[in-house]
Amino acid sequence: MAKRYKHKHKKLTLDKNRAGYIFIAPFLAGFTLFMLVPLAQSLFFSFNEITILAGGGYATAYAGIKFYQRAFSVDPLFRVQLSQALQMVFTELPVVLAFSFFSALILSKNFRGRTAARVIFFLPVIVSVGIIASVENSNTLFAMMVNRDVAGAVDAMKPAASSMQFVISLLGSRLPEWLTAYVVNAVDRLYDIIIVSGIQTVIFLSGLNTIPPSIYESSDMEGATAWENFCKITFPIMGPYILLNAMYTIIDSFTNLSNAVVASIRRYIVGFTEFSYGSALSWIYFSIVFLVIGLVALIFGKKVFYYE
Amino acid sequence: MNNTCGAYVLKKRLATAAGALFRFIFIFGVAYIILEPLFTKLSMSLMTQVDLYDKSVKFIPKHFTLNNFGDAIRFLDYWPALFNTTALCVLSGVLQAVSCAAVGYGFGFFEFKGKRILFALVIVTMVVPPQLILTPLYLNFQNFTLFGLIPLFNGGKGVRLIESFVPFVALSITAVGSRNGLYIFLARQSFRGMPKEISESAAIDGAGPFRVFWRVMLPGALPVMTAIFLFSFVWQWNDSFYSFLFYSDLKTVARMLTTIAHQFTMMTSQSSAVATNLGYLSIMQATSALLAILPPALLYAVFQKRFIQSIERTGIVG
Repeated sequence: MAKRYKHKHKKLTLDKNRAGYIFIAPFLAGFTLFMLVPLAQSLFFSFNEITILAGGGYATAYAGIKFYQRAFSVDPLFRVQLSQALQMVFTELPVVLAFSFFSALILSKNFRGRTAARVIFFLPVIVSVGIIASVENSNTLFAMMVNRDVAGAVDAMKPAASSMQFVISLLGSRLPEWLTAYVVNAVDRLYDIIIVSGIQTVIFLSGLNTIPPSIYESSDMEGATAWENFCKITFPIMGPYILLNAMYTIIDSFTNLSNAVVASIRRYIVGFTEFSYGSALSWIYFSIVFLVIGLVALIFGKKVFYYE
Repeated sequence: MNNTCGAYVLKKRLATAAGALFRFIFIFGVAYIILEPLFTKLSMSLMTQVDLYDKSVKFIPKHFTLNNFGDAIRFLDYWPALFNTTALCVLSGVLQAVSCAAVGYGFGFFEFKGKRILFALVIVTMVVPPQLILTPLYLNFQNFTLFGLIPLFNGGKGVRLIESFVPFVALSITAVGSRNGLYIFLARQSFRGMPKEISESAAIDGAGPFRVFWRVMLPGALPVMTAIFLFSFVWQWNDSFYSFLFYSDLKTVARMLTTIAHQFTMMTSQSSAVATNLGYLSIMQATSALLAILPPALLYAVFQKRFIQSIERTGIVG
């Protein structure tokens, strides 16, 4: 009797688990159809010459590694753009992470006007993405032409940066040059950094909310300072979120439209003129992206502590 | 004793006050940087060109006008574009909110074989950049064969799916649209923390897994679904590239925004005063940008409370 009961129980959980497959089935179908197949195709395209046929469809002819060779030996721009893109990601990443983490920390505390502050901080997620940013750029161009700070923010940052440089030169003539340059550059690009940090702030904020207040209460009882609380509790628990945000920032920066490599890939692909070369470029570019992400995951993944 | 105690209290109070001051400065500064371009656009949209070149004009225009909005609406072809874009955004937003919630539910609530590996696929979709698959995706939608199955039925030809909403629907219901990996991740986080007892008691009462999902789980997931809808709506709203690729005839607000400069040069190429035109163009761009961000901004204002609540909610259950 007992055995039969157990059998039944097992069957029930099995049924329940099968339902899980049904719920993720759409995703699996979509992944195969609209992700896996296209990925394989684009890899195939990068080794083949393609001609679009008049009645829809296309014909291919094997071309070997011709397009890959072209990227490295013929194309004058690709390598330069590639190193610029890599540089941009690594200079931006720490600043974005620090800024969004700090914003989330401040916004998670209780104070008057918190709702208003949150609404404003998340505004870039809503309004300043993509196309609108590009309009902003062209406005800046105009501002430069008529020599007026109509597009304010960007220009307004300039004096801030130079005074920053002045302060740093006063305080820290002992500081290494690269550090000064880095800080000044970060301040210079403050506007861009705030604009791209929206989602990261959201993710950090939701992470901060996972920490049960009781932990802080007991550590306060033990006489921990705010700094100790931060180092020993907040920071370690936020580990997985930092990793997630690091990934997100890297991907966002690498696939951003303002990225020169992405722009040139897009040019080749959208014109439908150089399909294959565009595919080859994107495979080169994105294998490097995967490599970077893998490295980051490997280095930080080990240090991250998963709190359950 | 009393003295040290007083000093301690004073120190603590000072620290709190300093913290509050610092917080205020930080928030004020960031808010300024975020809002300033919007205010500038607003003030530019209310100016005539004369004010733009007048250095004594700061923010508040001397020659106030509302004509810019009329002109910008004409340039953008605003009303039809607004309708198209809203239809597209609501469609993909709702579909993605439901599909990502379902997939997130599957990953967050059930234990099945290979779950970890399958979830790794979700992470893969987050990492695969859209540019890598856009070309084949376009070609596939242009001549859709479903692994060569469709030609078997209608005589050797695939179906042409571009220039319609179908590609957007297809990508949305299968939860592989843009950034859907992130949405699935958010939904999974939110379902993971829901008490298993609720679904079990519903199942004992005779509800199948879909009833449980639809009647019990989805209402609980409303905040996270709102967040997904909002993200998806906004992303689609600002996108001009996907919509251009899959439905190039559709006039969307974002696309019209990119064409303004082009239209403008076409229209005024006969005219001589280039610099003057440039000023007007700049005003037009600011006004159109305002018109373009107005609907999502309104949506955000409406859903703001839910959105922030959802962030807290996903947080609590993490």
